[in-house]
Parts: sequence; structure tokens; C-alpha cells
Amino acid sequence: MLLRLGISRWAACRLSTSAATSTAHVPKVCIVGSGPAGFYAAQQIIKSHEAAEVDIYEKLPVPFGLVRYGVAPDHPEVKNCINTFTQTASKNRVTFLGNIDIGSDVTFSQLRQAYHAIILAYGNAKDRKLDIPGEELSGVLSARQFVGWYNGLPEDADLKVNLDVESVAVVGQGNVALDVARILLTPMDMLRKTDIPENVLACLDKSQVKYVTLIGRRGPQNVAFTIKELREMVNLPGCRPNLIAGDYQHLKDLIPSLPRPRKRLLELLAKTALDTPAPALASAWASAQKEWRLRFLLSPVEVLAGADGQTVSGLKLAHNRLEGDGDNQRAVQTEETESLECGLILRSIGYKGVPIDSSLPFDHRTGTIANDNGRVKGHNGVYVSGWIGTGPVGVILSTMTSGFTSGKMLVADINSGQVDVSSARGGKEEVLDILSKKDKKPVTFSDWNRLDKFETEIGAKLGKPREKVTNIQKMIDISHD
Amino acid sequence: MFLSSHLCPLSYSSLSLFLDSLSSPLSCLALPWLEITYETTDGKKFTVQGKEGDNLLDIVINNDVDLDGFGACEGTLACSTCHLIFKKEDFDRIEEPSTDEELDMLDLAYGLTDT
Repeated sequence: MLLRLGISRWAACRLSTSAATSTAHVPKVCIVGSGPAGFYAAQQIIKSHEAAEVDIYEKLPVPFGLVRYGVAPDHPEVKNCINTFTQTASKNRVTFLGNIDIGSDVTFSQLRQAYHAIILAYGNAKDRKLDIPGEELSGVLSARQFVGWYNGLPEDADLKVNLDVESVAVVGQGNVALDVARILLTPMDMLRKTDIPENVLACLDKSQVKYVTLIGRRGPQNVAFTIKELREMVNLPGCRPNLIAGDYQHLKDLIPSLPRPRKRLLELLAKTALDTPAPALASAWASAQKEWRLRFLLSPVEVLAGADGQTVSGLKLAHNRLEGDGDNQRAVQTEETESLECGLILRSIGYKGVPIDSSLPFDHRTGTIANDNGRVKGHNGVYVSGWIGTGPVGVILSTMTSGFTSGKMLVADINSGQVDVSSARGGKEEVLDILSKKDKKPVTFSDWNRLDKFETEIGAKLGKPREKVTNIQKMIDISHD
Repeated sequence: MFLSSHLCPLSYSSLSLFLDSLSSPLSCLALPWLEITYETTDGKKFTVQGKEGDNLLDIVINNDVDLDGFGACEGTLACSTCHLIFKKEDFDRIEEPSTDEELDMLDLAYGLTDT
């Protein structure tokens, strides 16, 4: 039944182009951001409107956002959606304009002038802080930066990561937290086959990390990671789970009443913590040199510095107790504390968006742009797609749905006259004019193809899918070569 | 033969089994091609041809069937944009059990059911 509802909602939104548009001007639409939220929205608009032109603006000189820079390098199959995006980008009515920063190279109001409609799909560029003493020490990094580092994101490519430590604390228990833990604990021969940059591989190769502890402020019933990522940890070669049995006993009573996804996740967690593993797994765990740990009901209160006052020696944690029921359960700090010894702390308590223009209704608490099902409140013709509208939740499927929904909404609004296309707009020509006055040359999709070829050729020599170029100027030079 | 599915297979294995079972009455006529009808919930039908052993995702792509939202991971079991819901009796005819990894992905699917 659920499926039927889901599909009919999608299907109902598929609107044919109304006759009205043939007398109106070609709708010019721009999308800010070229990750999945941007590309799926573009795909939808091209499909459901026969004339609309879509220009996709991207801050970096390369497309695909978090598919290139966020999806874990050991999950290459998730990146297959790049092929669909490439097809979309090759359509005549779609133009990719990379290396253009909306807000500095071109302003939001200039885009408003140049286009009939705008989709904001620029995701979440910042991450949440712990706001505790010692957070500024060099051994405290955001998981977002760490992910950027091992994915070759230019701004994090030269991050100083000290892996000459035995124990790492990851604050947070979502999929990003598990991704960074997995990358820290995966055997090198597996990592070498991924597109992790060579300098990062060299650093990981010398890593002394043996223990990774993921810290959650609530209980095991509240973890945010999904079961695929958990199962990968359970089966990770050379690594064993170290879970405190007492943390999981209560799950047995809780599990039967839960919906299937939650149920299977907690079953796997409880089984891993409480049951005797099958012989093969048992012997793998017994010989493992590394360990991952989950700790619950703890909130970081202070980063402890080593004798030099610069490096991290541990994390002071307050014990929490839970109040309330179900999804409303919240952690309340108690006076009791403990210290966890660690030399590196990665905070992974959520990403958040940043405002691109002061006129937009930005909710600083959630880090999102206020919207009604994709329509930005108070801004006719402006839409959001993906995490900038929803916050950093869900897998690629959720972003696909968000992109399609916003794309359909926009086309429906054009067809109904809600978005006025009666006057001609300058589109990318108008924007390129602004850019040329600033000597700013965009990177086109065929430019990107050049860099893509360069990267995959170097990667092939190294036995990996690609070797990413991580310097912006070098990326531009190769693209424009 | 009629397949009321908007979506595509998550698993090659269960799909080829499914097509095998569909094709058995036809194979005695020695027809290498199968006719597959995709119907969307707004009633649009697309009848295309595929070969025995093809999976539904490949058939959609090969024939450029106009469906929304499918194949993000291109059939590598890394997402759940494509998944099938079987009738209980058809589901029970699939001999190969679902793997844990397949069920893990299905847990994230829209409209999750037991079959």
C-alpha cells in the first residue's frame, strides 16, 4: 500500500507541458550546486518540460558534489549515478558551469534577474561543533574535513592528520561516523584499490590506529547509522567489535515491537554484542589486531590536552540519562564523568547548510532554508532540493526523491503561471557577461571530461579507479588545456 | 504476460528466477524474446521485449522505457530505487533466499513489504 501511495504521488506530478508555454518565452532555470540534489532536479525538469533550459552552477571546477567528495571511496557502486548525471549534462538544454561561486562571483539577486526560476541545491557546507573547551586543539577534526581529506576535496586535501596515535574517538553514531571509522580500520590492500589520493594512502599506511570508539549521547536504540554500514563493520577483515554486553540487554524486549528496518538493525547490533559468533567470524575476530567500540549515554564536555598543551590526550565525557519515550527520548547530562584516552577526535554530529544570500529565509538552528515541500517560503520561483532544504538526512534515494519533487513542482508552477515566463530572461549569457567582466572563466562539462580522463588514466596506472587532482588551479588548468 | 511494476529488480538472482518462471510456457514455443509490459500507477503501459535471462532494469534501459526514478546504482545492489513487490505466492516460488546485504538495502526502500 505504501508503495502505491508513493508512486501515485510521483506519477501525479508528471505533468505534460501546457500549450501556454509555446507562446511564452523559453523558461530559463538555474540550479545552484551540482551534486545529486542538483542533477536529479535537472533531470526531472528536462524530462517534464519540453523547452526549459537548465544551467547548473557549481563552486568547484568539478561536478557531482558529495557523490565525488562524500560517498565513501570503498563504496564505488554508489557512485554509479554519475553516469546518469553525465547523460543529463550532455543534453542540449543543460549547461554545466563549474568554478562559479554564487554569492561572490555572481550574486543571488543577479541570478534572480537572469532566470525565471532557481533551484538551490548546494547542500551542507559546514558541520556542527561540540562547543566544548579544547575543541581548537590540532587533534580535533571534523569528520566532514576528514572525509574531504580522504576523498581529495581541495579545501581539505592538505589537512594535517596525525595518525601516529593508537586510539581515536569519533563523536557521533551516524553513517559518516561509521564511514570514517571504517576507513581508519580497513586493511591497506583494500584501500589501495579505491580512489583515496596517494598522499592520504601514504599517511594511512603509517597509521598506528588500533582502536576507534564511536560515542553517542543516547542509547543503542537511538543510533543513526544504517544496517549496511553496521554489517560492514561486523565483517571488516582484521578488526573486531568490542561492545559492552550490558548496553544491549534491554534491546531484546524492545526489538519485537519495532518496524522492520529498525528491528533488523538492532537485531544485528544485539546479536553482535551478545551472541557467540559463527566459527569463521569468531576466529577472524580472535586474530584481529584492531577494534571498533560503541559507547552510549555520553556527552563530550572537554578535550584533554597532552603535556605539551597542543596535542590531544583524551576526551572527558559526562554520563547521560535518558528522559522520555520513543523518538522523543533525550539525553540529560549528569554530574558523573569519565575520561577516554585518545590521540585524535573526529566530531561527526551533523552537517549544516550556510545561507547564500541574506534575503533567503534561513533557519540557523537547523541549517536549512525554510521551504514548503521544496518551494522557498516568500520567494516565488525559488526552490530547494536535497540537504539545503531537508537537513543532512537520508541516502541517495532520498535526495533523488527530493530532486524529482522540486523539479516537478517547478515545472508545474511554470505550467500554471505561478512562475511568470512572459518576459524574456538573459540566462547564462547574462551571467557569463558578468563573469567575463571579472575575468572569471567557467569550467564546462567537456572541460570536466578532460580532467576526468586525466584522472582515470593516472588511476589506471596505479590500479585504482582514478587519482583525483586536489589543487583547484591544477584542476582548472587541466580542464582548460 | 503482464507485470504490474513501476520498479526494477534489486537482485539479479531473484529476477532471473522470476523471468524464468514467466518464460516457461513460452519456451516450449521456442521464442527467444519475451514481451514485458510495464504499467505505471497513472495507467500508462509500456510493452517492450526482452530476452530470457535479462533483468527488468536492463530491459527498461535498453528500451528507453519512460519510468521515473530508477537505477541510481545501475543494478549493483547499492541502493533501493529499484525493487520488486511480489504476490505472496510468486514470492514463495523463488528458491534462492534473499541475502542479508539485499535485505539491508531493502530496509531503506519506499513501501517496504515482506515480499
